[in-house]
Amino acid sequence: MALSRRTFLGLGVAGAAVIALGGIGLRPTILRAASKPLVALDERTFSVLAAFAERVAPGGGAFPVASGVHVAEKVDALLATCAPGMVAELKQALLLFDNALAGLFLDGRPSTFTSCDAATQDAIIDSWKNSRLDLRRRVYKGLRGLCAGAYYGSPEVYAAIGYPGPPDYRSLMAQRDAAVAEGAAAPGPENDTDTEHIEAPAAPAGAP
Amino acid sequence: MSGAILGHTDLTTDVDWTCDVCIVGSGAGGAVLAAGLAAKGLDVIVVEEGHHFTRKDFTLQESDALPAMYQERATRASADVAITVLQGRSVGGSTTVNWTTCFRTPQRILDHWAKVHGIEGLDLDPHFDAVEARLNIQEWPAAAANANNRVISDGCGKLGWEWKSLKRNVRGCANSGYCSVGCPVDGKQAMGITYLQDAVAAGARVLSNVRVERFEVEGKRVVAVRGRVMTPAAAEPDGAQIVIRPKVAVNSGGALNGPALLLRSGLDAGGLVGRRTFIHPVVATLARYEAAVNPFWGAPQSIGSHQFFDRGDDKVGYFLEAAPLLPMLTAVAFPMFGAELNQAMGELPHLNALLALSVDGLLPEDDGGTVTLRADGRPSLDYPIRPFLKESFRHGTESMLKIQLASGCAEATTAHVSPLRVKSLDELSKLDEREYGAHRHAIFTAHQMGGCAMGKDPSKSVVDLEHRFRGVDNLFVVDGSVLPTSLGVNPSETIYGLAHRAVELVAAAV
Repeated sequence: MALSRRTFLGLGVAGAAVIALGGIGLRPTILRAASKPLVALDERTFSVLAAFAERVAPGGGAFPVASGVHVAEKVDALLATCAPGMVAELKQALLLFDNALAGLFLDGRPSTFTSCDAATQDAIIDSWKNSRLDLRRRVYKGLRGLCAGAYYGSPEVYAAIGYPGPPDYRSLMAQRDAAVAEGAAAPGPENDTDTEHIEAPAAPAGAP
Repeated sequence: MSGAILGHTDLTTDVDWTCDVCIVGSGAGGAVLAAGLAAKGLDVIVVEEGHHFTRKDFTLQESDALPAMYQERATRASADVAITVLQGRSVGGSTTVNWTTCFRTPQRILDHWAKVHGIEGLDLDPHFDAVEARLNIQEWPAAAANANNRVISDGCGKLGWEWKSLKRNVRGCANSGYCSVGCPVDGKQAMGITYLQDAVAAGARVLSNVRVERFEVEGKRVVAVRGRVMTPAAAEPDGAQIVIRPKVAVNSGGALNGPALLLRSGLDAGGLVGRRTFIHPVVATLARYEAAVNPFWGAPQSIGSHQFFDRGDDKVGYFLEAAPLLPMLTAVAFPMFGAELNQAMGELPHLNALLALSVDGLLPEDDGGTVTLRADGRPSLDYPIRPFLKESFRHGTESMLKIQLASGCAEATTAHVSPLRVKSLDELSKLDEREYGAHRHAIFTAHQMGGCAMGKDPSKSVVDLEHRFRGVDNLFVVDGSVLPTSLGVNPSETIYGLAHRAVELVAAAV
């Protein structure tokens, strides 16, 4: 079997060593409580993710904050359905991101990400986003995508971005199904043999 | 034999069945093939890892649909995480969630295959005729195009560039715009409601929620297909053992997963399996208009341009299409965070998105990406962004910005990590100040091709011109992985057509 040596984030031995040494004598991860029992992450990695999510989606105006729509909990639930190998690599990435020793060596910052104030956290994220180190850009992209996806996939955020949400086609189709069950011929796909003149179902309220 | 679609609630005890043909994968390749073989009276079993969804399951919420119906819960990416890989995972494969755009294989590509890969005499026209009739593939009227797509006709029209209305596989389309999260009215003629239903009506059994772990090979024959039941929310297989002992086995798992299955089975065709994987790498630009665009509604793709499909023998061409913007995927596409992201997303109803899809695999030096196995058996796609692709990305980005500016946008932006924002043509020279490639800007793929290249030369191809896997007498590959290059068009119809052609070839081997 041909196995790839590359992993999701390619942390490798050096990254694992940094994580292992990371907390010694330096400021530890600031823990956050999850609003529901964790199913994939542990308390420490959840806390890093939740802190990161709060900077991806800090709220403001009509926008709720990430914790207000439980972004980190949603990512945790998603990860419970993902391949264990991928989850393990993501947890490594979260620990590396928060790691004070790496921060000290690379940025002159002897603090964990979670222990910094919001402005410093934004600067840290920005430095990973634009880093010359490929590994840091990978971590930024992976974490940002998970958090931004979970946040903007939350219906509570739709109003802030002017998205009306999906129209209620299910009710419309349920009515049509009921009519068919009572013996009426349904307009539309399954009874239409004239491909030149196909009747689409009438749009529900809110549809384009 | 009574046909049925069975799932994890049906497959609660171990299974050891025989059949004429076992097809792994129920997407554009597997479904068409299954229907054709079942219609001939053959005993067909289709094995599919994804779940069987119907329109009653579709909430149209991305937070439900993406994890449920996309590979790796919609987190699939290239090995370096630079390329977001969108690939379907359900009964019907990617056809359940694709955007319905259909093209016949361009003659330029068929000529290239004949000249470079020895694929001569490939007459797909009668097969395209057949699948176009079954799937009602027709041109979507320009008058019905949404504002998001009209940016292409408006902009190209003003620039004097080619554009045309696209064909779609829909029947009774409600023009909702929710193709990517499962059609709510069964308007999309996806495999789950067309060819797979034909197959079942003719007696085929479709086993969903089953991950095939490997082909068991003895000598030069596949003697069994081995898998395990996997409940829909499970991270790994967690149910009964499934063993199918077919006379003929077919790998229709698609690019990435299909080559990975072969590699897990010890079938690497002399190191060729997984090589020459092509993805139509996509770069995008966004534009903001004063008037509402509502890019989340309406047929996702109805107008496109092939103005830059052929840029000569020494450059990578690309084609241009629009992208629907539902919030979750849009947010994943943007590279920024915090208030900057909120501001960009806050303009969603006024945004247009264009895509430039690079036509990879045509230059002699372009061998695309490589699929290998991760330690846990999942596919890993290594896809380097070489200089000729960076040049295509740069050129495509400029073309898209020109279209958006010509069509009257207030501002257009690149998808760079630090986006370039332009309001006039004078500012396009700033594109040279940006870098192109991995982690410099968003890159996507929704078209995965190759990895089991078809060809005449046994030293350069994985399957012969009849889809037969070289070195194994009763194993065929019928899906997008056999494409020796990318296509320069959305690939679904090419795969339908190839699978329709393969019916006779596979049947003859039973």
